[in-house]
Amino acid sequence: MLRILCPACHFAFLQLTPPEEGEVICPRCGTRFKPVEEEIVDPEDD
Amino acid sequence: MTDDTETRSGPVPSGREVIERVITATGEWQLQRTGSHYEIICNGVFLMASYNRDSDRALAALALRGIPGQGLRVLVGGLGVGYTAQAALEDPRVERLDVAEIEPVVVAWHRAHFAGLCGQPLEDPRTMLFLSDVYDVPLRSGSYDAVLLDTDNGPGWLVREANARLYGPQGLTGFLQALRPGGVLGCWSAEPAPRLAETLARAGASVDVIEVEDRIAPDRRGTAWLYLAQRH
Repeated sequence: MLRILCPACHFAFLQLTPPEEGEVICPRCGTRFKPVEEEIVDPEDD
Repeated sequence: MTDDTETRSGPVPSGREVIERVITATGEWQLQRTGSHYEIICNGVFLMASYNRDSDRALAALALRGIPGQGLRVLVGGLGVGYTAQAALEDPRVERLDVAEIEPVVVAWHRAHFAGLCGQPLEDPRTMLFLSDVYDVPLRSGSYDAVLLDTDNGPGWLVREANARLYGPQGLTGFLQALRPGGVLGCWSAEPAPRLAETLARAGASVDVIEVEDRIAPDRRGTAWLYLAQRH
């Protein structure tokens, strides 16, 4: 489980698999970026 | 993510105006407008519309009504327009809402076109978005008070064949086991789904079937079916 933080709008979301080609598109603002602040998280941890 | 995008303006023969059509890993998705309403077509099958409001909201409201306690944790499978998620958040006892949406383009359309209709549930600090098939969300025993499935048009009218596993014995048992005692698994269906009720009952849940009136077209009302299975 990857917790991904958008560098533009700071929206956090979870993704089960690593992003394709290392890039993701923020589902909030549409910014395309390579996550640098991603971490494996347990969904039970708040 | 999105592989191909086509935008077309002007009416199509049905009188709908196609806003956007994209082909993604999960198939072909089309956003279209009819009057003041939006509709989403997935793989050529009608999936959801902004006028399908009452039954989507009822799925959350009726499921949560039967659950005691505070600090509730809810999982919604399928963001869609966002009505179900928003209705869950309107229960002040909900402490956390996880929303699983497999298709990023649906999230994008939600933000661009639907969020204003339903109250922007993804902006609520209690909400966490899983960009994932709800089937793949890690489930621990007793981790949710409610799991609300609003995928496809119900178990008998799928837009993705892979979603049949959500409504089979293994899938439903997994969702039921993710509930705390007294928790509710709610499933939305556009048509009666007696096999769904049987499967839920065989899994040991108490099942209520509720018919809810809703718009099935901008100017036509019809019925949706809610299956609420409570874990003992």
